[in-house]
Amino acid sequence: MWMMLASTGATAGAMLDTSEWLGPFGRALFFAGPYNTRIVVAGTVLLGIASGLLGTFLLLRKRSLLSDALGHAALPGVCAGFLIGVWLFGDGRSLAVLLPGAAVFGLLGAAAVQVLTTLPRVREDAAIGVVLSVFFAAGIVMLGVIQTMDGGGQAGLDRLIFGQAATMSAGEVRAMGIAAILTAGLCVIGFRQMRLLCFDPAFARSLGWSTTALDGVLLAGAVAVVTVGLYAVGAILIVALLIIPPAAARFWTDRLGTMLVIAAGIGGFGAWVGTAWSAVAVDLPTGPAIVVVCGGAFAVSMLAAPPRGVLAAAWRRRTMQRRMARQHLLRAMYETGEVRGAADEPIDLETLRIRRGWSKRDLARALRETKRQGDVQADAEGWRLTDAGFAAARAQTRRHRLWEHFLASHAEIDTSHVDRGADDIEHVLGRAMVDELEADLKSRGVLAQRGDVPDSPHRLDDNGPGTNSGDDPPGSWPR
Amino acid sequence: MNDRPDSRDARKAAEAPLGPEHSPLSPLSVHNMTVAYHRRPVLWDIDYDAPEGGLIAIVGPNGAGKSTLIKAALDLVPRASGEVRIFGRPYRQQRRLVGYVPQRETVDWDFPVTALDVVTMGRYGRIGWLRPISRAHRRAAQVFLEQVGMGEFADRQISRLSGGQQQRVFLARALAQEAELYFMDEPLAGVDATTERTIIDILRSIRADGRTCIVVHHDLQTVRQYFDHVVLLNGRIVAAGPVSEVFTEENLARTYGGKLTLLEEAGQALAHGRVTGEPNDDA
Repeated sequence: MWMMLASTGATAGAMLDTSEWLGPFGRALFFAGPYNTRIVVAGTVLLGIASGLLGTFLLLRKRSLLSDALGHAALPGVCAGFLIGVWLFGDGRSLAVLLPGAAVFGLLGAAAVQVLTTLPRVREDAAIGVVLSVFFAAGIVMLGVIQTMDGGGQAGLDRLIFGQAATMSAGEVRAMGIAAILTAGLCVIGFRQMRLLCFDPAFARSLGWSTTALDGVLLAGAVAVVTVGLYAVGAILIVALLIIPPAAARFWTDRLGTMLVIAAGIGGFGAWVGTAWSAVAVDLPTGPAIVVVCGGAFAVSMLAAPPRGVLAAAWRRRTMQRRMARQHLLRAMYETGEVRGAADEPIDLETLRIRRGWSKRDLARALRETKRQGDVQADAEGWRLTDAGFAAARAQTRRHRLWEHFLASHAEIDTSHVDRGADDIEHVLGRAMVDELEADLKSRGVLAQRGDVPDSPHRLDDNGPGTNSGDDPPGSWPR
Repeated sequence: MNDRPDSRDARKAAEAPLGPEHSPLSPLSVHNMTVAYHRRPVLWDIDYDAPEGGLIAIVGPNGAGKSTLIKAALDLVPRASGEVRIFGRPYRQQRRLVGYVPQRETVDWDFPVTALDVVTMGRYGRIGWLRPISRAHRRAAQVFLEQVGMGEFADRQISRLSGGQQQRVFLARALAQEAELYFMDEPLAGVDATTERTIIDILRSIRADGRTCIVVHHDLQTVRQYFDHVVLLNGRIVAAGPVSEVFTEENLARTYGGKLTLLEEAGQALAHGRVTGEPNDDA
């Protein structure tokens, strides 16, 4: 399949080849470069897709860091494979010894983490740190030994630290493509099993599934991706390809299926652009280039994704704050009129602000929002509620009081404190809850009729700017 | 819903009972079971036969091994000794007859799945290993979601549900298993009044079908009202039987009384000795 990708790329490339404006980076990007670049780009894109898919399950199973240990442990594995190859055949550069070496050591690393974790007083993070650094250091030491051997310098094993896709052989690319396709296929076929394994392993076991076997499959997939990914991305950064795309995808969706597609997309995109970039830049290893591109995709996702991104959350918070500010002002104006016994009198908002203890900014924000909604209008004497504003203010006061009464009677909160509790919740009361609260108050005789505004459970006169001495029950205030 | 031919047949084909004191057709027979975590015994010599068609509460203090009892019966934790039979056979042969509601806190509710996805998981035991989830299974899941009053939340991501609603989703998933015997781990912990009513109604309808529920329960006030049988547990079974006979002041005092039971002390000494290699003098 990666051959197909490369050849469709080649056709597209033939069309684009003549356009000089693409430049070397553009040619690499659109499969118009040399044949070798084309198939390397196709191979790494497949790797990016596979690691996006597999990484999603690793992330949800909270095993992402384990794959970091795998990647670092694979390096001495490659070296060991090389040494065994030299010893057995006189040449260690064959993939037939290098790939099994990486895979076996990757599994050894994972097993070492498991064993260390079962010891008392070694937690998983410490175990991963120990395994990752010790295996990697051993790998670097072995690389040093290999460099001094005859012909060892030409083995090019040092490129496995950061990855150098441009120098990959056809065999390496083929191995990468096959492993990537198998892993991606596994994620698609085993979607249901992996989903339950990650969400609720105890329930999966109660169904008779072996979570050990399923975890083993997941681990095998990780080993496969890491092993072949060493050539393209390198031992240090291969974990980034497994973590960053799914972590970025999580900002965009609440559906696992969609998350898999987006993670595969980001992984494939990062590998595509990163490989093309490193193919044309002098001395830029592929691994860092891919990870920087994926990191950019992560940053964009974190900021801009509509469902869970930072900007969207800030926008929602701002909208909520403006709504709350407006509702507070409306209720304050309603209660002022209520205490005075007249709705039409203009209100001096500066007095109101001081009595209610708002900052000037609070009031300005609330006023801006109420003006925008057409709730208030100003004349020479002060501010008044419009008809629409009065209706909104009355509804808001009603919700506030319903909740206050509920808190006072059911949550056993003192009436002098209910105002605070009600301030937060009144903005989010839904229709169903309002109905329920009303029915409750009516049954206890606090409320004469549905739709009425109940009396405040606490005195309002020290709150509003009116002159009411408290003799008139506020609820009898005429419209 | 009422005819489950395979399960009724499977139940009749019971093997020989575990011993003369055990009934061959009990939904759950536990014989001489001991469970230990890191050599520290959590459950000691459990012998119990659950009555068929009962609502059975497992009650006991924190750390009494209530969840462990369920998990050991479901082969989720290894038994140090003893045997368990579900309708007369080992659990691995009877999985289709058993439904399970784990504790709500054991899963990550921020997981990217919808309420309907979770309920559909209750059908996974019936779907072939490589077969896709059929529309029929999704429809069935929707029906069970509606039974717990959550039909309109099918497409809601589970972190956007309240705690009580999440608990009802878990219950719907167990209902989707269409089991004969249910194990439920604290289904009423920290839920709102509506959810508690819904769950109790469903437990009663399960009992009305002649099916059995074994429920870890934390609220002593409601044991009499909700359950007909009770197992008082504190490392061992203090008492078990009909609520009216067993749920007495005296038995409760024996279950909850005392700070450390002798068993616990022995267990701690064992665990301590394992780490330091020395006898525990400060206990």
